[in-house]
Amino acid sequence: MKIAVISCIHGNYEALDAVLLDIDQHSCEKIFCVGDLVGYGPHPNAVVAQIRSLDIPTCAGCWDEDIVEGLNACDCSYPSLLAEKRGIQAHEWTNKEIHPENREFLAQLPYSLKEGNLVFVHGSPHSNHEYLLPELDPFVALERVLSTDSDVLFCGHTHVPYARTLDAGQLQVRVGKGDKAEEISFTSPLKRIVNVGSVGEPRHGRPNATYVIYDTNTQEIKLREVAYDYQKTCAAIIEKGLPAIFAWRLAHGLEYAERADDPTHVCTR
Amino acid sequence: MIIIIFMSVPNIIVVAGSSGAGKTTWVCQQIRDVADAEKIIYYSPGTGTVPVDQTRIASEFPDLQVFSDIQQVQFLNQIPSSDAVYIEWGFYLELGSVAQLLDNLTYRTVAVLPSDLKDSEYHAWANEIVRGAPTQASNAETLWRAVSSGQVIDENSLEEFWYEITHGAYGIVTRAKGIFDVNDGRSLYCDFVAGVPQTDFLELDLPRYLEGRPQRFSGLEVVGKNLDEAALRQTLSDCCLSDAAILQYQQQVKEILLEGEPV
Repeated sequence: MKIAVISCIHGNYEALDAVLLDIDQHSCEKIFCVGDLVGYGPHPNAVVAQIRSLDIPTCAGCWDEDIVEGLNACDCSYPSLLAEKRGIQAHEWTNKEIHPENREFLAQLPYSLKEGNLVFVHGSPHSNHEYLLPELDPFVALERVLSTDSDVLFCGHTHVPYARTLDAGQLQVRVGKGDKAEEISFTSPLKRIVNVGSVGEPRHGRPNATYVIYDTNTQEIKLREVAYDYQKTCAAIIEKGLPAIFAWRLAHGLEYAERADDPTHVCTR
Repeated sequence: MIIIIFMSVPNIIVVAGSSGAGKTTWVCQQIRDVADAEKIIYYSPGTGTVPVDQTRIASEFPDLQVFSDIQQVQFLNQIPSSDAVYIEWGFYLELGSVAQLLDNLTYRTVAVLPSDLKDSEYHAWANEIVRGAPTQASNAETLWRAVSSGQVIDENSLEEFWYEITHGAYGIVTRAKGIFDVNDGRSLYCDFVAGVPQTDFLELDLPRYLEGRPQRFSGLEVVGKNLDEAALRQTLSDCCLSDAAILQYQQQVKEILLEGEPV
């Protein structure tokens, strides 16, 4: 069975529309979404309505959580004061714009989804704000997958797609202190982390949307990059009174505000 | 009896040229070749309240006497007792005004120009043409300046802001330069010339400012076309730390320095 996994749409309806068309052309049987339907982009209601109407299984992203519970960013969220101020602007705008029924929909999104040996989360199984960057320490990366009791962990949040195979799963754990310490070794079966990128807020230097097609029979992962009329989204950003810099950044594949990129950082909240 | 007093005549050099071609860099090279900068003076009229080049050059040559716009009279009075005088003539000033400033004094004119510029008013004006950086500056450009003295800029935000400035987010920028006080008390010099490889921010040789809001110059100068001045101003403001954040950073840096650790 072929499945499509999408993430980080961020109120960019044009991008979502193009990705859904691309998914349709690749005959995927099911679509999963790992959150961040809203935030920064100009069409939060249209995006939520589309996801609802297509009944796409979706888990909550950090932006979806914040629109429901109020702004709750942690130190990991913004690497600079400027990014934080822009994030707050985007949050306040979205918070005013979102319709009650859509907020309600976001409120009932689960933290994670599971389908057979696949698990779907927004950031990491540990926190929706944690970035599972491709260079993350292999021990931490493996721990994150093992904690889900699955073989393939699909996530988003970083906006840069990648597939990582954790095939050297030889773990040694020391339990206890001094002479009484006991060393336990165990081997983990092959695990994978698949980051599906971002539909509406790319960070790979081009404005194109990204998502992933996964074949559950062959375990083949296809990272898809889809061009769309991003200028329409840019025009809507300006028209709706969002900061013009968001349009410029979107057009340059830079995200609306820069994100943390320290692979050694582990979210401690 | 007739007494003849021989006064030494200072070597006055007026440096002009395209924006970003390297006028200040050329002046710095000349001063570096002199063992003692004490009797050298530098003046760059027209910079107003945003003396980026003056601040940079003064930090590199502490013995050099640097005059600001409002010190023109003192500068002219100082000329006779100087060994060498460097006047940097911004691209936004009329070349014909040099003679007005220096009246009957004898001076040498140097133009720092990109090599592909073959025919310009500078060629007719200068005694010497120096090959400068291949800047893409043109005449139809706007100059935008902002003072940020007293502000401390979040360094990570500055990097992002600088990236946006130099990649066209606020208009087509051909030249940008600025000096900023950042979180850990350092003063950073930022420099961009379109068409020339980017350099890292340069830490100026100034003491760390760790006692509240810095009482020294910081600011920004941007040259380009279709500049979104309101957005530039707003973003610069968004990069500034609050009083509480400044205090917190300064305390952290002081503690680290007390422990003898590198900051």
